[in-house]
Amino acid sequence: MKWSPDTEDDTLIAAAGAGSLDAFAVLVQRYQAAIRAFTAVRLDNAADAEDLAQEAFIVAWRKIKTFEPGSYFGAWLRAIALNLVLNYRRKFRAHGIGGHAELEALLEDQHEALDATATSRLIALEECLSKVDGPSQKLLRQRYAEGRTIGQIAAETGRGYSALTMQLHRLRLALASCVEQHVSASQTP
Amino acid sequence: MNPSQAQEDKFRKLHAQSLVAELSADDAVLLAELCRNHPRLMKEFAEVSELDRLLPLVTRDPGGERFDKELSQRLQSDSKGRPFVSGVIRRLKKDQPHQKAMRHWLIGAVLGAAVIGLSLFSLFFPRPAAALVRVEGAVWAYPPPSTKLKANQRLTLQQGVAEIRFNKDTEILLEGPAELLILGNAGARLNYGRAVAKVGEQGHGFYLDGPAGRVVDRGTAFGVESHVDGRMDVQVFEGEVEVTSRGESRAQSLYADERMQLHRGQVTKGAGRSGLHPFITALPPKFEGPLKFLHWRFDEGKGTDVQSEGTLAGLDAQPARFRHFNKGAAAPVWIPGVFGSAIAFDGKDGAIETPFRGVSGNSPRTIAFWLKVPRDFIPEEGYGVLSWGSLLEKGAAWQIAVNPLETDANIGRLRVGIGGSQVVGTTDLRDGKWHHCAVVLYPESYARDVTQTLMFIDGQLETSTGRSVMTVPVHTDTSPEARAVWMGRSLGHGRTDRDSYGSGFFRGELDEVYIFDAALGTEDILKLMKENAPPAEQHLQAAVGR
Repeated sequence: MKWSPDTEDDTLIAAAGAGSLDAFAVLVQRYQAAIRAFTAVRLDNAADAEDLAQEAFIVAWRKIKTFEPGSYFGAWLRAIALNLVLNYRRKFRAHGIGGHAELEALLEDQHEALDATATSRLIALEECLSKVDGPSQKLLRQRYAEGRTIGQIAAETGRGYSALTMQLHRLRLALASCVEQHVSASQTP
Repeated sequence: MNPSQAQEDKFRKLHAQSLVAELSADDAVLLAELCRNHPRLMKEFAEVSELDRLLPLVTRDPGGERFDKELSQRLQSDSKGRPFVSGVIRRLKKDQPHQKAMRHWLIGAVLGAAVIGLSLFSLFFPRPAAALVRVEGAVWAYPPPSTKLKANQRLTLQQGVAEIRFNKDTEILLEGPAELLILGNAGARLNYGRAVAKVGEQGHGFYLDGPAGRVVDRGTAFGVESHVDGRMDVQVFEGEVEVTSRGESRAQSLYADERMQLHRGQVTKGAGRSGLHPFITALPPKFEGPLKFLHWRFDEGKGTDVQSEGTLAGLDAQPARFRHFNKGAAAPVWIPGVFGSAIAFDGKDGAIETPFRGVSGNSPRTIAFWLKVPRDFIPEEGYGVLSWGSLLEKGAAWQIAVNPLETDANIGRLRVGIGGSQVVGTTDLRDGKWHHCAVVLYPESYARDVTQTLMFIDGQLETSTGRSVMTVPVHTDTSPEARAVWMGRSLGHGRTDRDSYGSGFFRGELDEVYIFDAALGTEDILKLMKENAPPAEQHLQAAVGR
């Protein structure tokens, strides 16, 4: 049976508990942005973060019968994802921001405040990115889509390392500002 | 208190640096202090740092389509695996009824005395516990004195793969660098490295020890990787194993497509994507039927046409042709090669177009050639050493390149991409010297859609630091809509629906290209390298059958 994207969580969870992957797929569509963002902001390795987000859904699928009806499915998923993240950190020592655990801990303290708006932030970021073009778009693509280091980009373009570092940061600041505006606007009644 | 302009400037400079490189300890302390003392800076620090981690998501997989597709595949595979696992559990329970225990005990007691006598005999005259049945590219620290392996014999494999058959219906594939201690005909200890155990019905109960625990077979095939720091990874391909962490008495069950890591008494269990495991689960399969191949010698030394030899495609009358994409037909640069002459590609617009459509689907294949990559190689010139197929679907391409993407693996290593997945070697080719390269593909033992990829550089099997299997099924497209075999030009070049990375053309030198429709073994590849001659059919049969 195909499920409508409007079907309520409880109905989908009951069907998934009875073995319907189609029902579970609708839940995945609904919560994937939140869980991907949840793991991504907690790890400094984007590929591993994506892998853990997928694992969170697989664990949820296996344990769906243990989900208590009436509680919030998103929070249950986040608890599973957090457990996976903590296990991951026990296995692999994270580098942390700038290579320092102290800076990572500072960010850690702020995650909870930002979790509530994770989905809208991710959607807003896509929207904001679509407005960037020209050399800025190229720089973002080189750094984030292709994963190149500033040193490599500097060597290829002949530009200074520090100038590129600051240009990239100004882009981040502009995108962060754009995201904030989108999120604020979406929360305004 | 609001920060001063100087403090804000300093904060942004340090924050910008921290997101692209490591900060000094002093700078990290200063950045943390600025954040703690100024809530506005703390907010900016958190928002922008998080944004920095979200950007790879939205630039690589906007909308999460790839995420959904991969997850869907994993979930479907997970759902299919469950009934099988339950079946295995039921069968095991059936095989061990409680009522039979007493009768077994009595029989055991009678046989006990005889066993003690035999044990004393075998203590002085030990029988071989296992045999070395096949090796591929093996380099031993201490070569085993015989193919017959006795208990307490240590095998230290520096590189390559060794197949060991235990007397008790069990085979182990040991992948170097690795060290295996034979403990008897029903067990071994993997001190470090990777091993895959395939246990037959008579071998149930076979165990493999590692630094962090023990894995006991319960009707299965599984892989174990022992790390030098004491970690131990276990991946089950079929059936079920029981895993006991060192210092624990209680075993945990692990089923097909699940994996577990043991480290200092801690156990982490997770779902394993079948395509993401790093193990070599099978050696190239026995070759059947006549061997077909195509060989481009590049010995013309002039002109634009390049002749091929061989019967793989019946192309005797149709030469390959070199052309410059920007200038039209123009002669390439012919240079002295390893055997006769060779061709130099300019990395700008020169490529060879052949009429051969390539090996299709997930059929076994071997591609071998001599390659020289300049010392001043830049990543933009890495794609497209040799390719065919289509990029319209995942898994439909077949492209051998010099890895240009740091996100995938180290730059400058031999790479095979299929569109959506790739395997990358470990030898840096950027030294301006000729290297003999070979890529061998064949189906994996346990999953129909999974293929094993081996790479050989200068006749030696590459030591794998990552996985050797593709994460998406290989189904190379050889239809008329797909590209035929090209050399020197990336499959992505010229497409209008997506960006091509880099120039789209390879810069470097190429000689003696072979394409076979079979998976060749080490000896065959060495013969290609040393004699520039394909393996004789008779030799090939003997090599894979030993």
